[in-house]
Amino acid sequence: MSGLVNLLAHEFIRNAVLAGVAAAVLCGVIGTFVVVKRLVFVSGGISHAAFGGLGVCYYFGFEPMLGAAATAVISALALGTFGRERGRSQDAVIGILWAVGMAIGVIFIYKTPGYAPNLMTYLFGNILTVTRGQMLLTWALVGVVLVLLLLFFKEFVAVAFDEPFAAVQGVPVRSAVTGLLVLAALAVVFLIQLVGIILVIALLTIPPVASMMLVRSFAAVLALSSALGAVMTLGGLALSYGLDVPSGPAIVLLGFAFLVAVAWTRRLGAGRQRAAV
Amino acid sequence: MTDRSPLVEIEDVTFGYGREVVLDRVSLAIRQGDFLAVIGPNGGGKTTLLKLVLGLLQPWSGRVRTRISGRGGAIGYVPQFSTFDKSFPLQVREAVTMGRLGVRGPLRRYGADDRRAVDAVLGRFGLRPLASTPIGDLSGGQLQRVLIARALVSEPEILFLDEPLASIDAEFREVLLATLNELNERIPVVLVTHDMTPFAGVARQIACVNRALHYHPRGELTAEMLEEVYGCPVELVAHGVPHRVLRHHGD
Repeated sequence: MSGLVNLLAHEFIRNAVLAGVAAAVLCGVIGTFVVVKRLVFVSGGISHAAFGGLGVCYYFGFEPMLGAAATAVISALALGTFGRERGRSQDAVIGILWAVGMAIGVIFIYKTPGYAPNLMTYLFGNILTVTRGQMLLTWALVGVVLVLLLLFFKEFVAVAFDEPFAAVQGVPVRSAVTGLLVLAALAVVFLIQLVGIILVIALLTIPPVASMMLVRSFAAVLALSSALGAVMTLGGLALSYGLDVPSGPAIVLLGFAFLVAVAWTRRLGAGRQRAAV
Repeated sequence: MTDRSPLVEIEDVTFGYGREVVLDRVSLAIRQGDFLAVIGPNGGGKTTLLKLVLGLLQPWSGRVRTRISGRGGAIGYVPQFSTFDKSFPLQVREAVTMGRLGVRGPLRRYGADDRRAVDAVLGRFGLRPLASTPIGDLSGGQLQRVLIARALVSEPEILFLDEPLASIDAEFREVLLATLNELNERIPVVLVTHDMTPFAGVARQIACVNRALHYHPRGELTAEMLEEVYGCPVELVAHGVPHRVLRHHGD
């Protein structure tokens, strides 16, 4: 334990821990909406499309995360604006966006002269490479998300649960859904740093799904998801250090282990209830 | 109840999805005191008509005008029950409180008056013991009750219900019909149903929708009118006291 505490003396570890907590709040809040609104596949499409922007910026010598953020937000706006009319084909459009984004990213990074960047870092993340600036930026996004949530909590919940009803109550449903998509896109980009493009979906889905098994009020799910996200990122970080494994997969697999444990105890509990009846 | 100028007026409205026309030049007026049942076969455009009235869809042509006040929550709406995700993490009280959304307006939190209104409506529908039950644990009838409570908690000026008897048990059916009847003393009630039978005793007007719309005001159902309402292939037998039977529209 004291070994872990001593580790906090290192700036990069402190950054990783603080970024981990920020990411946890992001996944808790955004992930809950992503899960209940069934935006998981959309978020996957956006994160992979973002890789295209990342690669292009890398090639031309701009900040890659900026390219990823821009691409993610543009994809979210496009899907929010055009995607909804043709419900059935949106699925396929997301799939195309997903693959094309990845293809563009890989080609541009391959063609980048000089030092070849480590693709693995973007695909699977490395929380230990998070800089102080990136960590602060992630907290800034957490701030924006929490303020928006405080201001529009009842509207967001209503839109997530029942769009037509919310519309009749005067809520601008289309803007709210597009807003959620943009926030999800930004969250995805920030989380890429931690767990990478391929694993980011785990951080958005595992905490809310586990929370929904444990508590049943919306506010409680938001809070518990954030807490579970923190257990995932910090626990995964510790596991990564202790077992000398990459941090991204450690975070994801710790979360999955927790999810399985929750599902299993709930099954046992339900079985006991049935037996008692 | 003396004001008979329409609260909602649909004029010559045409609407469809893609290239397919679902409603073809339909007109309808909803007035103070009305208890209107919108009936017709599945896919005939009943729910589409409701969504046009609610402003959720915009007509291709024609006009939808309403004189319902612009106050938040002036429209009570009970959407089709089957469209709900029962795994959504929401307790009964949270779901009913959602009905105060329009009353409260943006950037304001729910307050004591919202809680009082929610308590009152929970009590009225026998939902108090279920207040903190997750909606996923409710029976179909209980969830329908929650949705109706949610629609009424804003004290609306008009109530729209889409298939309100779906998944409802016989016991709550009577409670619901009595509630609607009582509500109708104050506000117009419009409901969409594929099965007219349970509403035969309470509905005062009937709109038969199947691409076209045929309107049957009470007591004016003459043989000439039945001749007129051609091409609405709905079998309609209403049991109730008094018996009112609409003849099969001639095909």
